[in-house]
Amino acid sequence: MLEGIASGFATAFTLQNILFLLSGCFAGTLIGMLPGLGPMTAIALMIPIASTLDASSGVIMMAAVYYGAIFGGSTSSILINAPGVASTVATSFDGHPMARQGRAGKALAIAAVASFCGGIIGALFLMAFAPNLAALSLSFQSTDYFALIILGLISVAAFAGSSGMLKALAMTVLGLMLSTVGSDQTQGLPRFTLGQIDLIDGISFLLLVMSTFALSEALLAIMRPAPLTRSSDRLTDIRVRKDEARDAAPAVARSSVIGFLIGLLPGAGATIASFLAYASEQRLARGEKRQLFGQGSIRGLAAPEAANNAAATGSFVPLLTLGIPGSGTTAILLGALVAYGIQPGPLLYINNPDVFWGVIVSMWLGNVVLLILNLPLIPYIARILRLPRAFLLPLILFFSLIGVYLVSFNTFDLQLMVLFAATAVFLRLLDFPMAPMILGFILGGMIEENLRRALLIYDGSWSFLWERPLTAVIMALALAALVLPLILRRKKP
Amino acid sequence: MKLNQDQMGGLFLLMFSITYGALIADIPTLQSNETLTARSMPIVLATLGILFGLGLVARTRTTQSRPFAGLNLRLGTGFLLLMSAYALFIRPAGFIPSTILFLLLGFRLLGEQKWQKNLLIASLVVTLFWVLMSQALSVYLPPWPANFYA
Repeated sequence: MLEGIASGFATAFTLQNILFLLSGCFAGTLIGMLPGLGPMTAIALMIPIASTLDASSGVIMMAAVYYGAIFGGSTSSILINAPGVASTVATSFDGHPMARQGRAGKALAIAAVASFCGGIIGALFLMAFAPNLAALSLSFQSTDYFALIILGLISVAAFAGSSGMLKALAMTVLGLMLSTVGSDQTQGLPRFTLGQIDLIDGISFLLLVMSTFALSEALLAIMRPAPLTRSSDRLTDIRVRKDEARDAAPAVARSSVIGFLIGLLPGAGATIASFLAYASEQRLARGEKRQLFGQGSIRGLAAPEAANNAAATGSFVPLLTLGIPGSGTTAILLGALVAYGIQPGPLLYINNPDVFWGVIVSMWLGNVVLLILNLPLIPYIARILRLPRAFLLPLILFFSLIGVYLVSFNTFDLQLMVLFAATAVFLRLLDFPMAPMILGFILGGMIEENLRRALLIYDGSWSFLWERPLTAVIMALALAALVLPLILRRKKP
Repeated sequence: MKLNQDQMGGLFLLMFSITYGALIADIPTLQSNETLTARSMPIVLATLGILFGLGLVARTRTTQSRPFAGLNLRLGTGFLLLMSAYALFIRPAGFIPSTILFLLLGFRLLGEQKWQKNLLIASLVVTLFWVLMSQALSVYLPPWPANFYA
């Protein structure tokens, strides 16, 4: 293995590949910052350029674009509460409140460092355990995925905070309901389309998240009286105090491990990882620190950032070792590898060791480059918030609307956004949390698909819930996550 | 009877769930022996939605009773209408004119009076964005009205 790592460094450390790494990180960050253009689009846009390069350089550049786009997405999530991709939704829970408190520079710096650590830890795991972990991830069946999704949904209780578990659960169900709009996945039957052809493909995630987060946030800011003071001078300050770093470090370490392990599972990916990491950190926090979640907690920001980057790295394990793409983004990468005449799978690191180890080492380097590139830029990026309110808010509305329009070129989607934004404003004013709804929406399709498969495997019987040990353990954890907070709340005087 | 926050939201979710439940009847069914049909998950969700909605409506705890106080609802409605109009005009009027107008009206609604400055900022942002999209990223947005090219 050491030989492989050395050859990886030799491949990645050529001047040409470092240049591609730099340009990939930079382009990825810029594209990722635009609402609507996530890592998948960023990589897709780079394919024509990458196809002119040799395999190692092309894949190294695309991996750099991937990381850059994830970081860019976090930036828009923190600054304007516009998470362009699902994996950065959890980042906005505490990142955006920090920005609103005038700590945008610090929030971006913490996000950059946490992402860096998540990526580095993930890449180390990838180097050490890739082949073994791939076999483990293959042992996960639909029944286990079903149980894992139930656990993810029940973790909404963690987001409930002061607004209560019942509200969070009700919002999860609302998200699940919205996910059923469109054609049924197995039989292709239309559901809740109201005769509208535009709803046949369902509601897009981007549309829902942009309307309920970015648009509703901007509308609330429009309706509230303008603040008397301008944003603070600390806005561009990126210094993180020692106690803050000490607070975030264990959360970053734990979340990186969670992120990497979840990232291994095909289909689960960075989104579930970031939500689970956020939920577990909230559960671990005690006293005042717990109250801070949702209001600008450093741990709450660092955890999903570390987790989504570690998961992005983890998702390369099934891709490189088994040839199975775990997400849309890795599916595009798989396509690019096949176009180079490289077949990812168990033989990849025998037949093309330069590509295999080159990619792994470039992930490591990509994260270092991303940190060096982005930290000095943060004070300038954070200045966006210094724009006068009368200019900033209409611009946020424009970027959110156009981000969705650019994907579908359908004006019906824009009208739907207006409707969802108005509803989200109403519910947010009533103190109903949006995060569980988004989580329900993301997991809705997956839960139905995996349950259907599980029932097919078990001949229509629900016995998999207790017969299969792994499923039973995850279901027991889910049950505990639901019941324990209720018991603990009762015990409190 | 004055509703508290939870009850207002609960009532909304209850009505939504009942409507959702009623629409399940419109989902076509196929003759099959599958345990899980296209209607199964919606039935479970409608039931859960109604139960949670009722649970929230039944809550009597005191919460903030005037969540909408102090908000400029007229301005909020104005922006919702503006966004809706933008959605209607972006295609027939073309990206550049409709977006410049959208931004100009948005700046004006939020109290920015200097129209020359507003026009300059709106034109600059829209042109730069269009150039970035169409030239650098190859995402084509028709810039002018459809009959402009005729």
